Amino acid sequence: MTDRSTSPAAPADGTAPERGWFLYGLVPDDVEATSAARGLDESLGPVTVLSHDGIGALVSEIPLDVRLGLPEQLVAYKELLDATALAAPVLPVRFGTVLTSPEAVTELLAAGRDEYRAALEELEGRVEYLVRARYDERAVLTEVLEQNSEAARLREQLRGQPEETGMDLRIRLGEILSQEVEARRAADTERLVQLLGPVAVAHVPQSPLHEQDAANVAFLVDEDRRADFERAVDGITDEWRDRATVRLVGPLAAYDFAGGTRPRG
Amino acid sequence: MTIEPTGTSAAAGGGGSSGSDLADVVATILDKGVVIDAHVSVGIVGIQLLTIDARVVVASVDTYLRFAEATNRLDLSGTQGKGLPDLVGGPKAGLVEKAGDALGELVGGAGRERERAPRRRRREED
Repeated sequence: MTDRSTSPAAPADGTAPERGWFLYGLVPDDVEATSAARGLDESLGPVTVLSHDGIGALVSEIPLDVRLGLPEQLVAYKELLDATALAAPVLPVRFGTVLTSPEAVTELLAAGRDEYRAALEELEGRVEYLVRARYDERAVLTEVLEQNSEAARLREQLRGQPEETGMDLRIRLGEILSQEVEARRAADTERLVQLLGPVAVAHVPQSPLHEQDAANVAFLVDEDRRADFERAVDGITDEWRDRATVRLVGPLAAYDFAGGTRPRG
Repeated sequence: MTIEPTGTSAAAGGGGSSGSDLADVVATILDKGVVIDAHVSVGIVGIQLLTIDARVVVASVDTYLRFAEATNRLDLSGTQGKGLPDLVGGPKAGLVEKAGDALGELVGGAGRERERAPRRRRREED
């Protein structure tokens, strides 16, 4: 996390608030922002590129009294990075990173130059996809009840009883179901990686977004294999048609590979 | 190389300003990316971010009760309705609902499935 102890000083003349440079991401220095590139907020400064020795930083000048973290800012940050990723490798910088001056930005680029260049080279010609799958509630619960006799027995016992009775049994039943769904999620995540891994460069499993999630995995994919990858996702969508809904999100900037790629497993 | 706009903007109502889409955005970007802190740069400004609601799934008693309740709603055998004498059409209602769901899935109809189905094969950021 950033150090929050240093709060910006009050403006010297007491009128305009101090300005800072919001950092979206790092790019090769031959990237330039067009006037069409949207920043955090139309009313704030445009997106520009500050470069140093092969690395560029996508930045917007912002007043330091701005409220950061509004929904539209999160969306704008993501859209700028995703659009950039289609044209050039981009290393996303964690949302909310603000530097005090353009000099501070270029100093940062100089200090991390080798690391950033290596990471950008890894991302050259690659994009991220997220594959998110959610179980059909009826299908997954039916499956569990068929395969777990204790759960089936508890369910029978609790049937038709008012909600406030049998609390212990209810919790026990729910615990079994929760664990069974977790076990299926682990197996299905493995299955997803098994099918999509061969058409991807790397992958990183993500935390579930919902207790009935079947899988949530980030994949780094070569531009020229995007069609293969999307076909493979169609394949698993068909395979899971009766038990889960599969969503493909992307292509995106490589949010989950900003620390470099990991070996395919 | 140049940076092009994405064209549609979720904030401008280009197809994604609902709460669940925002949750998707948050899950995609939150706590991701290169971290630059005071150890890396002395020029970092500490700006307090507005609270961003990250959805974390933690198994708890609440989760267990939701699962148990969902199981209780399941109509596996068609003999549901015990204890609900005022619902004369209990079992039938269950069956109708079930058929409706199945139909909904086939034609991309009812409820949440309708929202998801057309998005299934589509790239969301086009």
